[in-house]
Amino acid sequence: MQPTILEIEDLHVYYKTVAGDARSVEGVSLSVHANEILGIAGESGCGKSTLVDGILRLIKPPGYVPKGRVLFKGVDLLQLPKATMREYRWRDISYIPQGSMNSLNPVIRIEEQMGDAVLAHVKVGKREASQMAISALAKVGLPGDVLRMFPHQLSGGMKQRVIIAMSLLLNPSLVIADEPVTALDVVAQKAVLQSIARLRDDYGMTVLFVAHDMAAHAEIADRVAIMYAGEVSEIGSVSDVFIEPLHPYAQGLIGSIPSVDRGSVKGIPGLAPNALEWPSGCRFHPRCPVAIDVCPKENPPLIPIRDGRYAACHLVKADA
Amino acid sequence: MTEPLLELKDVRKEFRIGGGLGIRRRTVAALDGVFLSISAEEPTVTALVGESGSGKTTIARLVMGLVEPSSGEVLYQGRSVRDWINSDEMAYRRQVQMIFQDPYSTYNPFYRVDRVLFSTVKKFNLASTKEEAQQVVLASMRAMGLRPEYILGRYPHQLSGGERQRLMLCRILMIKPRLIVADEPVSMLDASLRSIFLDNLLQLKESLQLSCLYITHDMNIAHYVADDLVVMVHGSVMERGDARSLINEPMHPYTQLLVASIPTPDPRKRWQDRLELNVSTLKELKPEVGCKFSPRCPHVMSVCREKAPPLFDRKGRRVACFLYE
Repeated sequence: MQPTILEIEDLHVYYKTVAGDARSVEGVSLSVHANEILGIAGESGCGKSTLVDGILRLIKPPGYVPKGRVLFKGVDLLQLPKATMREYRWRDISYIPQGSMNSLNPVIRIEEQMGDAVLAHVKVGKREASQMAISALAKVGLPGDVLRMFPHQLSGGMKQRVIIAMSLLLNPSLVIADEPVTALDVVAQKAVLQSIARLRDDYGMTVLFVAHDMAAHAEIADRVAIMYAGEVSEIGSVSDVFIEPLHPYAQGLIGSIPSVDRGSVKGIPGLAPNALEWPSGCRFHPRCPVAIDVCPKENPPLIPIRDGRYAACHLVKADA
Repeated sequence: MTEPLLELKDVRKEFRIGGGLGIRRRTVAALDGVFLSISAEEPTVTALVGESGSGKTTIARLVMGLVEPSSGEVLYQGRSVRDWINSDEMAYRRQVQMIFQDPYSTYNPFYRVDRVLFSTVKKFNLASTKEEAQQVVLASMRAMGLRPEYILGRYPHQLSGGERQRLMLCRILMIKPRLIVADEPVSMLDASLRSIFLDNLLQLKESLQLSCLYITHDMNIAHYVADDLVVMVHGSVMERGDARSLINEPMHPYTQLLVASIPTPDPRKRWQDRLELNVSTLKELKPEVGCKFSPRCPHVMSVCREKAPPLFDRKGRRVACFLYE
């Protein structure tokens, strides 16, 4: 197995509100192995984006991190001085925020926008910055001509790939992408997903890939972590989790995806809970079709089940 | 043959853009020669699929009478929508209803959600007394699997997106229209709630015998709900036909590309090919003449760049491609 590049230990992210703390992420532990695409899946409000913000120390007040460690190659990012953390960003860990393709400046050519990113982090000349931009664009399958263009001349899929190229400018070892294919049509989605897969396959990068679209995970992720109500309910290889999900929430989520080669699908009745007042015990119990007496009382921990698979459910026991 | 329920005949819709701040004023055609029809004989869900900017939403707005075509006709039961709205708008609205994409902005955050339903009862005269109105509203909620005691009196922010969209279906159930136009109604909903909404919609189709023009860019959803499929590129119809056969055996090169790009939620069936986009044509993605798909088409011929192909009849399907001439 590849070494662990990022280790998240018992991370908590809370937001202060007048009604008390919103416990958006609570006790998440995850390891990201080098050269893998780890998918983070879950529905809106489950804490996917907050988790990413927590990893990158982007939580701003009223949010705070009461507990947890984020070890990147053994260094706890949460303990670093701000200036040192800034050096890690982009150079070691780069981040593609949700909807960032719409943040390209419409009146500035791509060359200058990519060059600015380089010059903000390393001392090189303009020409060299452009060379770096061209090689980053090549990694996502775009020609250097794109540098001369304005954002409006590019399609959505191309803009998103320019953004991914920007994240690659300084050759980071870890790329964190938050919903990079949402709002793209299917053809553009495929092109962007394949660009992300190439980062792993051809350039040896590690990708933390956040998406609510389960089909996107099935296409490119190696392992997937399914989040519900601020916690991880199941982790495992994509083939294990999709073919035989263990946690009832994972089963419901995967069973509810309409697909061209599948007949009927079934949703999960009920409502996603609120971070201000998570249900007692297992947070999924009010919507769970197989809940038993213990579920409202005790929150099951995430335990190893069998090789590399983890689940947090009272009904799923570790293999002997 | 009986008259179709809805028919678009050679519809063109242009929008003017620019004209301020020194930007050259010009017109762009959002729709260019669109033919479309929904049969009146049995309830049908027609899915309109295409990338963003292909004119899907413009068709929805034309059908609702929110914009008028630059040329061509939009006919509902053989009569133009403009005519319906000018002479008898209430009758038209009673027969044709819309569900919007965003379940967050369709509600006024200051009013309770049930206001949407009670004002519908009032506007369409669905009840003569207050008690009766209450009965109508409660019955519609129960039919859609919503618990009235939970929903009534709540504000929009207290409900999930899925519940808000299903309340829109309650409206439909009360009004009992013949046709609904649904513009990406589940794109903002979570996966686990989507299928509940879609099943409710299919249930209404059967119980009310209503037809639906369903706009989406998600082929998996189109496959789930649609009887017929219409595939569009840049304001023109590329292919039209039975949804299942169109997805199983796409004929138009764009439909083939679209179908090959559908992600499947099954890691055993990952894409085997790599999508190569022709980047030399970046700037001419939307040609003025010829087939709208020609700059990206792997089978492009010289005729494709000269004139736009008409819709050819092939195997019970309509395909706008010279490969099938």
